Amino acid sequence: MRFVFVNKLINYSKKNKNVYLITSDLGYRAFEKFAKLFPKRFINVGVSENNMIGIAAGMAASGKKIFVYSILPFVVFRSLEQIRNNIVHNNLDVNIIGAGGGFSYNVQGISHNTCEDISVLRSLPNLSIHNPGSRLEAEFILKSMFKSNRPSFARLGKSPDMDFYKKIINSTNDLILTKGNDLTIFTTGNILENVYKAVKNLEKDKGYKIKLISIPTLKPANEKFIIKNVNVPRVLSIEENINIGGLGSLIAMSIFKYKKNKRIHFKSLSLEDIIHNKIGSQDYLRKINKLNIENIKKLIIKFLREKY
Amino acid sequence: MVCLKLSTGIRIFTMRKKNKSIDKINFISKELKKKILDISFKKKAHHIGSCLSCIDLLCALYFGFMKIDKKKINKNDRFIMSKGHAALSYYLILMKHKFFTEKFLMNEYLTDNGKLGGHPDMNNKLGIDFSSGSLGNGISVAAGMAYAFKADKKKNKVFVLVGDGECNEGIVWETALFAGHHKLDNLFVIIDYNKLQGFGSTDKILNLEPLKPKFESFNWNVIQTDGHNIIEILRSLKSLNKKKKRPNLLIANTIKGKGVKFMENKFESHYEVLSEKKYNISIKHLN
Repeated sequence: MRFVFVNKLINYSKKNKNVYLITSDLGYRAFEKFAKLFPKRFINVGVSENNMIGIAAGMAASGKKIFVYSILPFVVFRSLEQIRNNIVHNNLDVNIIGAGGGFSYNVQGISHNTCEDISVLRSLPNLSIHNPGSRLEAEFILKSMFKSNRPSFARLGKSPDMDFYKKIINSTNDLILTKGNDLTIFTTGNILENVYKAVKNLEKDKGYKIKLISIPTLKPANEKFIIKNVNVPRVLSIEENINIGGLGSLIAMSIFKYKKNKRIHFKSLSLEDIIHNKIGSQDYLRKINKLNIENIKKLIIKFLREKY
Repeated sequence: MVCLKLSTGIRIFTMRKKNKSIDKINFISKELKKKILDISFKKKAHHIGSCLSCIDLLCALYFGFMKIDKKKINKNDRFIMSKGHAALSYYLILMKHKFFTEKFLMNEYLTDNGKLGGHPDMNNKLGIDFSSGSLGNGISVAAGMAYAFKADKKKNKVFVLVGDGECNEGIVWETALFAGHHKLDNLFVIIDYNKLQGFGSTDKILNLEPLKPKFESFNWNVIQTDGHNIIEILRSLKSLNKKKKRPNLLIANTIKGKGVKFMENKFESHYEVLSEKKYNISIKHLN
């Protein structure tokens, strides 16, 4: 999805001369075009994530719109304090782009893969959090990042081969991918690919009617939209993120807050609260964590057969 | 002959004018030192030693060197108090610049729902250019501001006051590389070099020396001077300002707790809250 990001940023930067792209020496074979078009607005601070956020904060405090880029855990965890104190607290127009997320960096191990970023960042007030699941979703969230002048973060993983949308996404209603009354599934990020395929399979093989909704923006959460779609007795959330503080928590809290009088059965499929330091392909790592298509299908079938 | 006399006359006149402004800065500094003690005593505040260590530097900067005009904020120089724990000295400077009144300071400083906390919080109306409190971050943000001004071809300068203990932080050196690489000659870092940090002396905890050559090797202009001598501070800043294409560092040799004998060169003055007895003694020392 980083190519979607770069291309959209290039177009946007032609119109807005205040836009700067700062990287901590990452983005090789992705940022060359931007650097060539806007040499003065591309800064490589070197391998120094803490300083990158400080520089971004100082520039944003001087009226610039900043995009910072690095591999996700480096920019989020190494610079969490700078993000919290300098950017979020001072409400500066700094937009953090974290490449990867989940098991995107596959065999590269725990230093590069991250399943806690969304949970940790969701606890920071005043930070918008995006986790797109396809190219069109990435375009959708980038639009809001360009429009807003507040702090934001986006987890940009690898784009799925296919896009699930038939047209450009213009509103949250467009994020309802399939319709149905048997079950509502919420998902976020590029695990959408597996969820979508599982749902489509079950629709075809078993005739299940499932409502699948993607949530590319986790904060500020559109709770009204979520609750409006919790209109069936079974709700499932699926994410490539740890089971504390992510999409599952968001959906559960929304249900609890607004629908506490109605009987709703909720399940969350996410990563266990253990250290995820195994290496392997993204498919392998998803499989051992029950996020592969087969397991998602099994879980849905089991959920729909359970009697309440 | 007439010309010579005339120019000598002008020189004497400017010298007198200069001395007058130096006297004025010294006068303000003395006044603010007393206020540091008064207010710290009343508010039971810590960090008195840190405030006394840097108040001369702040006075020289704000009343002798920086461009500050409340009406033309965009053209102002910027300042970041990276050693945020000495916030009171910074607030007093801003008060003296009429960003707020002394009554406001007393009402807001360290009070419930107050606007002036133990560490400064960004607030354009109050003249606070950026938040601080976590050591090391100010220099990095200042470099970002300096970079932005340069990119816009603006003449604003950015000043940042950094503690010596603060220089233990890795981000200081990341920024030192960055600012040297990008030739940020509009960036002025002042290190309040009182040689004391959390547990004692800097040379015993984590030695910074040789500090001057360290920064010089990072492609900075560096001058080391007496951080309590207003004339020396201003002379050094002017001299740094003349040199271009490198970021600037003023290593200011200071004394923690300067002016109050029982606090001078004592790292405990970082933590001590004044009793009434000690407050009275401290005022006597100052006088």
